[in-house]
Amino acid sequence: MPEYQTHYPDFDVLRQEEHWDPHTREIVTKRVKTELFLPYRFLTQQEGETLFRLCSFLLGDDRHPVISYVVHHFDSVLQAGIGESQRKIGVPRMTVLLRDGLAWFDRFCGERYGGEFLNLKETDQQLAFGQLMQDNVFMQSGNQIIPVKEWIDKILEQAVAAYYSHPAVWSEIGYAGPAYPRGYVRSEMGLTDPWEARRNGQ
Amino acid sequence: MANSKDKVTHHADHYRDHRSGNLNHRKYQKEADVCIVGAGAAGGVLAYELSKAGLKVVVIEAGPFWNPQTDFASDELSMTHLGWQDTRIVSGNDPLQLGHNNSGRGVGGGTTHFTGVFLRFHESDFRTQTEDGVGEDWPIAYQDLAPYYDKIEKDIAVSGPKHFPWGSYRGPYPYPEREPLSANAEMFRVGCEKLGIRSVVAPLAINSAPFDGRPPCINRGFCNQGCMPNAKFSTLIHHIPKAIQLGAEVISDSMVTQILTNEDGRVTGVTFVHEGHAYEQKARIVILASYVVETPRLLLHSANARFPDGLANSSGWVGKAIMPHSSNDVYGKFPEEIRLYKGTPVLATTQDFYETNLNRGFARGYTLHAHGSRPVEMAKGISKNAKLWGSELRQAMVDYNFYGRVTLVGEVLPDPANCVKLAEEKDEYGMPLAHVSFSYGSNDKRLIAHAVAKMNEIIEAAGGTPAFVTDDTAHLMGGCRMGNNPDTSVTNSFGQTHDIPNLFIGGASLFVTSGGGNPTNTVMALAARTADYIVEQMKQQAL
Repeated sequence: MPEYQTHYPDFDVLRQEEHWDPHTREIVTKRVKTELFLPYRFLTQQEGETLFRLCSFLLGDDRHPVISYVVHHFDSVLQAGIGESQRKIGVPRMTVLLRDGLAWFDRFCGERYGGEFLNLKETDQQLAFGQLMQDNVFMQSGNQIIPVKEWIDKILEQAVAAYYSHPAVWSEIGYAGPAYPRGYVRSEMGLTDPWEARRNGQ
Repeated sequence: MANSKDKVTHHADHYRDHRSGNLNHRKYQKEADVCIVGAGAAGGVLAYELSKAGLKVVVIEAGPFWNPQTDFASDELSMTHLGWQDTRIVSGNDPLQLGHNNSGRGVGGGTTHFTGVFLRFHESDFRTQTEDGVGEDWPIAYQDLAPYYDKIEKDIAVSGPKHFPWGSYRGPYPYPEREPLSANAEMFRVGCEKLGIRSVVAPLAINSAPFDGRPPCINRGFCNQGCMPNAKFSTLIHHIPKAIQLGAEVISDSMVTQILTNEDGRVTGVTFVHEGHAYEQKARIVILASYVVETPRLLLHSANARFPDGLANSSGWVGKAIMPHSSNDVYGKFPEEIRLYKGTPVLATTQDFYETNLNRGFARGYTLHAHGSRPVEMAKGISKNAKLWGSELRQAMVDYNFYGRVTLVGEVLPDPANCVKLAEEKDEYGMPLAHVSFSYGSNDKRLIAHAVAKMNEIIEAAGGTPAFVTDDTAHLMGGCRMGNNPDTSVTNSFGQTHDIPNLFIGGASLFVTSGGGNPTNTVMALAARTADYIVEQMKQQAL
């Protein structure tokens, strides 16, 4: 993975957790406690590992605790069976789509690279992933032939939502996050409250 | 069960100790005067106004009775459930994003997570056919709604400028405009100023000073995740607690699955499901305040031998001509930090492009807002449809603090092909899922292109570089439009269905056209007008 230069190397948003309301603190701090992550309930171990690699490619980050949270969050969404808000006509439900897509991807890798995705060497994994992101690739799910993009879009949407909810990512991008009960006092151009992220030397 | 003697205060837990889980001992079990389906913007106003008039009101809400202190959080991901997440099937050339994007679930409905922008429609909005030859005229004029706009704005102490330069209402607003602004709002106003575009501090349903036991805003920035200090108005903390004190019963976590009718073709009540058990609530009047997708769904699903095409649907217009607002965002990158997370998301606005100007090549117009964003919303927006992913996405987000954002709220013309119907697939209640179809028309697309160019100009004039444009929509309107002609509309101008005199529809579903600004003020003003009409009709024993 390439290096990303954060503007805020000294900023750790979790240093402020004592100032957050208890409900927010409970929700956010759980995301860094990898030891409390439950075993997968919907995903198989192999599906989880493949998804880990896919999310890592999609998010441009392979930090284990962060991507692990992303995949565990995804598993809990799949397990919970809450609605998808919207689903395009002709696209199978998320649980079916996700699982069929992973199985299809292993067959795809078998045909092109001679093995299931997780058994490929890193460079071949990257090539296979790159081909996924091209247009005009189709997969079968249920009795539908659908663009692979539908499958990727679902993964990307869930991955992005979880990833940009992780405190390590908040710190990296300088997002000061939760601000209740204290709020923001200095909100105008160029002003920061003392506990917000500051660039080096500022 | 809510007891009218209970003291329901704004900071109280509305849920625990205020309702019995035993739904066989309901307050108006035998019969209510009015049963309202949905406790959102329209349902809240209706419940309050009708209770105040002394009517026995029952409100049935599919989602929970939130307690802001313990149920809300300063977190985007966990607060997604303030939207209606049940799956809808979407189709068309521009399938809509639903859920948190444009709907609510739970007491307060969409007002728990709306941005608080509180605009009136303009006079031209009510007669687009006459003025511009597009859309349809409403059966009411601006002047019919003006007293209700006045009333709603006063009731909830809308904050805004002393002088508002557009439309018929020029201010002042009941409460002073908000200050301080956010850096993003300042950026927007600087850009507008340089281009000669007028801008104002946005009129907001957010306290600029203490009001009604609620504090002023603390610029926490999480309007879309539920306001924890209760500085932002919602019907959850304003109308509903007041309605309960006036005697209304609110039944939450209960999904209405059927509207019941008798042999005379009148409605007699509804069936609702709570924790797997079905109950009946009888009422003399039923009002559907269940927004643009669920209202037609319920009417269509309640079809019976007498009403084979669904209730109130002799015109065939139930579910037709739904409209979102076009709501593309432009993110611009700046040399200095903007920090989009800080402050109330919308603090500055222009309506300089609201009215038709045919030199622009399209009819009708739009509003532009400076619009803050937290990281999930920005990352989701710029990565949508896999436009940006991997290292490009991560690189863009590393610079999150250096982006500003301007957002469009654009008029979308009504088209009967844009509609809600029933899908084949069923939900856990055995109800067919809603199928929502939407495609932009050519006028809509020309409007969007003009607005995006204008947003780019504003960002550039403010010293930024336009970087990402995201396709997005906001709000939903229409689907049970009002009108004077029963052959081409579902209700009269008061929301009373043409076919069934004791069945009403409240709020956003009634819109004939979308207008080019945020709709909540109009939704609530229409609901207050419906309430007045019902009270008057009941006094005259016409209902």
